[in-house]
This record gives sequence, structure tokens and C-alpha cells, in this order.
Amino acid sequence: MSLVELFSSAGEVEAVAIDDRTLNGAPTMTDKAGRATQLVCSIDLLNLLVQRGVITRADFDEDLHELRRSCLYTVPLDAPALRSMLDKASLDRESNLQETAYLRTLREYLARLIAVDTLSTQDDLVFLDSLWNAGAVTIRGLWSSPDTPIPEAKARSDWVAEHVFPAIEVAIRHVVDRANRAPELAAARASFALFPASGSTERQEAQREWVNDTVLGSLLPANNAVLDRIAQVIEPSLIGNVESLANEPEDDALS
Amino acid sequence: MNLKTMLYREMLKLPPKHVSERLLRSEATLSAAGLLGNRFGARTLLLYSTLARTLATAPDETEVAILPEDEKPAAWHITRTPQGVRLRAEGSEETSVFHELNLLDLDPERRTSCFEQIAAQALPMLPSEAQWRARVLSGPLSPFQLHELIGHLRQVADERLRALAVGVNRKEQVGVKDFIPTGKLYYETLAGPIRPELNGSEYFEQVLCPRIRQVFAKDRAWGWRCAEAAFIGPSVDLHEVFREVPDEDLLPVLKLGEELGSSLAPVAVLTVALPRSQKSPAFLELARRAALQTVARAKKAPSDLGRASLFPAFSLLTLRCLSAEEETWSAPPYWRRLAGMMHAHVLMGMLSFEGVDIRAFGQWVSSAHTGVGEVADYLDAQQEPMHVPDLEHMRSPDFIALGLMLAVCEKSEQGESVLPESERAALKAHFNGLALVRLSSALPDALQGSPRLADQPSATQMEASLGDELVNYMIDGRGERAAWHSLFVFARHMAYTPSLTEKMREWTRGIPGRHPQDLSASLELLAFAARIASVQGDTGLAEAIADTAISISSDCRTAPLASAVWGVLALSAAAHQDRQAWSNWLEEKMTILAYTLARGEACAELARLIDLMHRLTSISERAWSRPRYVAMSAQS
Repeated sequence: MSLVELFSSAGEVEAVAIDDRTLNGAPTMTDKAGRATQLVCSIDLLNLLVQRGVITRADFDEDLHELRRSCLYTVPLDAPALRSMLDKASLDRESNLQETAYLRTLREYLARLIAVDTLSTQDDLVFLDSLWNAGAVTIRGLWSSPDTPIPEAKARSDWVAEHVFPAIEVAIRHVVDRANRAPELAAARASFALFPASGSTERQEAQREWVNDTVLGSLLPANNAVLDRIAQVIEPSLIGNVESLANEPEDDALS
Repeated sequence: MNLKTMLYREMLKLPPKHVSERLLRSEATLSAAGLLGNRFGARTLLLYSTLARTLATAPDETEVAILPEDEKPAAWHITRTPQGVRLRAEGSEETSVFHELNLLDLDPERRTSCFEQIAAQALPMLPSEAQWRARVLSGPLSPFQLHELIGHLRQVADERLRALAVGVNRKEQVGVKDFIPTGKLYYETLAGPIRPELNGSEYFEQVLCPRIRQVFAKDRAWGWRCAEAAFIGPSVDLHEVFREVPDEDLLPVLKLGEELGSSLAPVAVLTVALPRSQKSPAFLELARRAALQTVARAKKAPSDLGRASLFPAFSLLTLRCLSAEEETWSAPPYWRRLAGMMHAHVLMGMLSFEGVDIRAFGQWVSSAHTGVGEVADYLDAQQEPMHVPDLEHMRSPDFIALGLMLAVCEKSEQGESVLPESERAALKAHFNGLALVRLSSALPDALQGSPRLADQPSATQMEASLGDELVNYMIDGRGERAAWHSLFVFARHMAYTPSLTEKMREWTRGIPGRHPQDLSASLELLAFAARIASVQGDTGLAEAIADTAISISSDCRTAPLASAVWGVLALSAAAHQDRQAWSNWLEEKMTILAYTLARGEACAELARLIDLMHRLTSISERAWSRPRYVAMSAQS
């Protein structure tokens, strides 16, 4: 079917799949006769196949890896997939993560996407945010999971922070009022791991040190205003939390 | 302790250090934490506030019990005295007097006398002394203010250096933090307050020199120590600083330590002693010894340098720490460079280095600090290319000192009696092989911050000899490094003619051809050329350097080589004086470099360096993300 035929008689089919972010930006497609048809892309189809049990989740991840290797734009990344890729990578003698072929493809893919400067619209912010969220959830998972030894949690978190988190200046490169919003966004993002994810004191200490050196330390010396902002934001909530906690048990029980 | 306090203290332990430190600066946090807990130094605050409350009603010279906040019996007793507050524990006969607690007293006279005593003992100077004096006059200090003042007093150089020397001498293993204090207060007590609105020359004249006079009036030994440490050449005119000081006050403090401090210290003595030598034989003798010592230092073989070899390494290490520190990174480069040299000077005077393998230790100091501080050095080139400390070579300070000494003797009428013309000529002949020394003799100072000599007749003559010299070097292929170094040194004092500039562009393009087997040698020469471009503001030369560096970058496979190519580009970019043009040019060249550099280790290093550049740039002004991502995509 040619593109012209597709546009004239789209209503006759159940759904139209187009892998073009300009064309498939809308949820539906309407033909000349005014009939609307659902508009999907290859990834929607793959999701549908997983839902119907035709392919497994592993097959789905493998297919996304192929799409990234072919350098299709904005192939999504979720936290479980990222975690699964990281868990397959081992550490070398110096506790550095040894990249697997999957991780290497992911790193090169994300770096290339940003380097060619195509992520320039407001909609692209959604993709960049999803990358950031997947990274943050993964890091929290790594530190909360007692099955991941501390050196591994640290090395894997380092990799995510370096290669998955998009830089602030990239994320808001085309946003209006960039100069004012950058510190605000940086403060909001740097706050993600301020409080420990695990109940173990040893893991708490290690996570605190990692956040201090990698996430917050990278803002110094030039961006200490961002850290001031974080402290200002969490101070009232800390005091508020303490007050609500103090009101829970009997006052004389601990005093 | 109540439940909320306990909970809050536990909660404060949760956020990472950078955030919890900031929380603890806030009064709301300290109040919520109940002002308790050794961990945060809040016990002292509690003590001060309780003391202040008790002192407000206590009669003079009569012991009273401290009123605790709770209903418990008093544990301490105090007595107000003019010398300070006397403290005695309940059930004990022993007492201790804390004179600084008189700053909490309601009596203005007692406070003032206490403060003057504290200020006199703070050497060389109490930071923000005038502001503290005004606060003390306006009323008793609050507990927070007293806590802050005591924090300031701990950073006063005399106190800090003693603590540092004791720490270093006691420890078997030492780290950078043992030698280099953090925070700006310590350095401000040495070099004077940071004044971003002043340029280097204005600072030396308006802040540094009056301050040296002030310190000298307060304590002669410290006054001279500061003068010697701050001496970088004629930009800090010590003769003028001490003009009003009588001979009998000055003579006892002028000391010549054989190996203490920097190589410039004997020249500082010479500069002050020479003009007074006509009237006083003692000054003449001192000037002669200073000149001989300078010559002896410069004549030493590199292997015999001993502890003097540590001065450039300590200066650079301190400078890099200051450039990476939250409180000092934004200070003007000339201030950080001066503070680095001053600290290195006084530190070397304080430490004995007995039993230390100086050579191995020097190597450790030189390699101790890598990262953001080094990157800052390169970025400073754009902000202020003129005040670069000439420490490229371990011997540079010795040669600069010698050059300065010759210049001082030549200019002074008494110079002949200290170092006769024949000896000066013999010295020049002795060092004839070292272009650096010959050229250094005309230099204004070690920070190279004086205005250019372009309009002076000597400039043309210097350029003529420089051109011939270089051509000779280029023809026989020997000493090319010294030739570029000389060009760099001169570049700060004169604007090069178009013909010499054009020659330099040609020589730059030919560098890889002259050193086909040695990439690092080519890159070292290109770095000198880049410094010249930055000082001269020569964007054409910068372009030639960038093209040459990029043309050899595909062979750069290791991290050190990648770092060297990056350095060449970062320095060349400083030829663009306009900040926006600089940033755009650098982004463009870095992006090309990220594509041409060999894959793997070299690209990983480039990405790391750009990350470090980000740390020195405000988040809303960062412009080098694109090359960073290109490099990241090729780091394995």
C-alpha cells in the first residue's frame, strides 16, 4: 500500500503503524472519508505481542536493543530493562564495571542521540525525563537491594549517573528562561537520593558517600547555589517530619 | 534531651555531607536540634548562651552558679574578672580563665580591651578585624557571633601553621589536606581579603602593600615574613613599603635563611637593604650576602637543590587546591596565585623536612592533586592571561630571582658595590647557555603582571634579538623548547610584530614535522604556543595551533596525550578575549577533537576533562555538552 492509499483509506484497517516521530505524534489518523484509525509504532506492536504472549519480555528487550543498534530515535528505556542489563555486567579487579555489549550499545546510542542535537522540541523533554526517571529508580533499587554487594551497587550507579542521566544543560537546551530554570531543575534532580534507600547502616553510609561525591560533588565548586537550594527545600520538610514523628509515640517513652 | 531533639539529630545524619553541612548553618536547624550534640559543635553554642544569660546579672569578682536550662543542680560556677571569665566545676578547686568570654560582657570597656588583646595576638591579622571591632563596640556578641569569631581565630595563619606543622611532624603518613588548609580565611590572613573588583596591580598597591605595613607595625617578624612571602618582584615595591621604617627597626628582622622559603626571598632582602647600604655598612653586608645567595642558588645543579625544589611544587599544589575549593575558586586568579606562593613560602619556613627524601617527596607533591584544580588553571588563561606564575620549570624561581637581582643591581647606584659590573658580566657569561636566565633578567616579576613594554625603546631591541635567537634555535633543531618558553615569557611584556606573528604560525604548523616520533614533545611545544596566543590575544595563531593539534590527535591513544591535546585547545581558546566567542570557539574545536581523537582511553579522558570543566562553570552557562557526548560515545 502506498502512502497516498494509506492516507485515503486508513479507516479500513484496524491500526496504522508508522515509525516516524513527526507522523505518529497524534494518537489517531483520519482519512479522506473522516474515518479515524488508531496510530501506532513498532514499539506499540511489540508491546501488544508481549501482552498476548506471542513473544517474551526478554524477546522484547532484545528487539529494543536491535532498534538502538540501528539508531532509531527515542527508543524508550525503563528501569527493569536497565537493571537487567546492569546485573549482567561484572566488575573488574579495580571494581570498575565491565561494559557488556548491551550496555555499550546503550551508552553509544544515548550519547549519539544527544550529540547530534535532534532532541530539540518540548516533546523530547518527555523522553529525556523518562531516561532520568529510569536511572533514578534503578539507582534506588541498587542501593536498597541487599543482594547487590556495595561495590557493585556503587559501580553500577556510577555507570547510570554517567551515561543514562541526561545533563541538565542538554535537557533544557531549548527551553525558554533556561538560565533561571537550570539551577532549579538541577536542585530538584540532585535531591533524588538524599535519603537512604536501605535499612542497613553500612549500605546507608555507602549510599550517602556515593551521593555526596558523585551527585552533589559534581556541582562543586561553581554551583554551590544549587546545594544551598536543596538544603533550603529539605529543611522545612525535615522539621515537619520530625514533628509528626515526635507526635506519634508517647512523649515520655523516649524522653 | 527531648524526643524532637533526638529525632532531629538522627535525621540530620541522613543527608549527605554537602547538604547536612548547609543545614547546620541555619539557625532554624540549630534551634530544632536543641543546640545540642558534640557532633555539630552545638554544645559550645549552648554553653555560650547559658553563660551570656548568667553574665548579664553576675556581679564583678563574685562567684555565681551557671543557671542551667533544666531544673538540675548547677554544674559550673563563674566569676567575672577584667582578665576574663573564670570557670570552676562543681566540687572542684581548679579554675580556668577564658578571656574571650569577656566579649559576652555587658561592660563596653571590658569587651573592647578583651577584643584588642585578641586582635593583637592574631598574627598576621584577624580576618575582617574592623567589622569585628564595630560589632564588639555595638554590644555584647551573641553566642553565634562568638562561635563564629572563635572559628575565625582558628584560621589565623600563625595558629593554623603551628597546628599544621605539629600535625605533619607527628604523622607518618600525610595527605594533601595536611599541608594545604581549606577555606578562604587562612589565605586572607596571609594575602589580604579577596577583592574581585580590583585588578592585580591595583590589589598589590591598594591592599597588599598597606597590609604588609600594618602587620609590620603589629609584629615585626610576621611583617617581614609576609613581605618576603608576597615579594614577586617590582610589582610589590618593598622599598616603598618600608620607606618610613627606621634602620634600627628593620635591620634585626631581615634574615637570610639558606634554604627557607622561596628563591625570591634573598632578592626581597636585597631590594630593601640596597637603598640603605650607602649609609649603613650593616645593610651593605646584608645586600652582598643576599646577592651571593641568589647566585649560589641559581648555580646549584638540579640534584643539589634540596628543599628549595619543593617551592614551585607546593605553590602549584596550593593554587590548584584553591581553584577547586568552594570558597576560593571564584577569587581572581592573581589572588589565588599570590596566596599559593605565599603559603608555599611560609610552609617551607615552618617545616623541617628532617629525614625526608626530598626528591621522592617532591614527586609526590607534584602529582598529588589532579582534576578540577588543573582544569581551572587552563580556564584562568581566558580570564587573566597576564598573571600566570612562571613555574613551568623547577628552576624558574631561581632564574627569575637571579634576573631580578641583576636588574635591581643595575638600576641602583649602590649596585656596583654589591655586585661589580665585571661580576655581573661574568654571571651573564656563565649562564649564557640558558636562554631563560638571559631573558629573565629583563622581567618585572614572578607573576608577570606588569603592563607591556611595547612602547619602550627596549622592546624593539628585545624583539630583534629574540627573533635572531629563535631562528638559530630553529635552524639547528636544538633548544626549541627554550625558544618557545622565551617567546612565551616575552609575550607578556610586548606585543609581537605582524612579521614575528606570521613566523610563529609557520613554526607552529611545522612542529609535528620536526618531532615526528614524539607526540608529547610536539604537544608540549604547542602548549607554549597556545599560551603565547592567549597572552597576545592572537586568534590567527590560536587557529593554526588548533589545526595542528587536531591533525595529530588521531594518533593520541592514551589519556595523558588526550589531556595534552585538550590543554592545547583550552589554552588557545583564551586568545578570544570575549567570553561568548571563547566559549563558541572552544565548543567547536572540542567537538572536532571528539570526532578525531582515537577511540577508547583517549576519548574517555576527553569526556572526563569536559566534565571537570562543567564543575567550574555555572550550570546555566555550560556549553560543552555536545563534545562530551561525542567523546562518551567513543570511549571503548
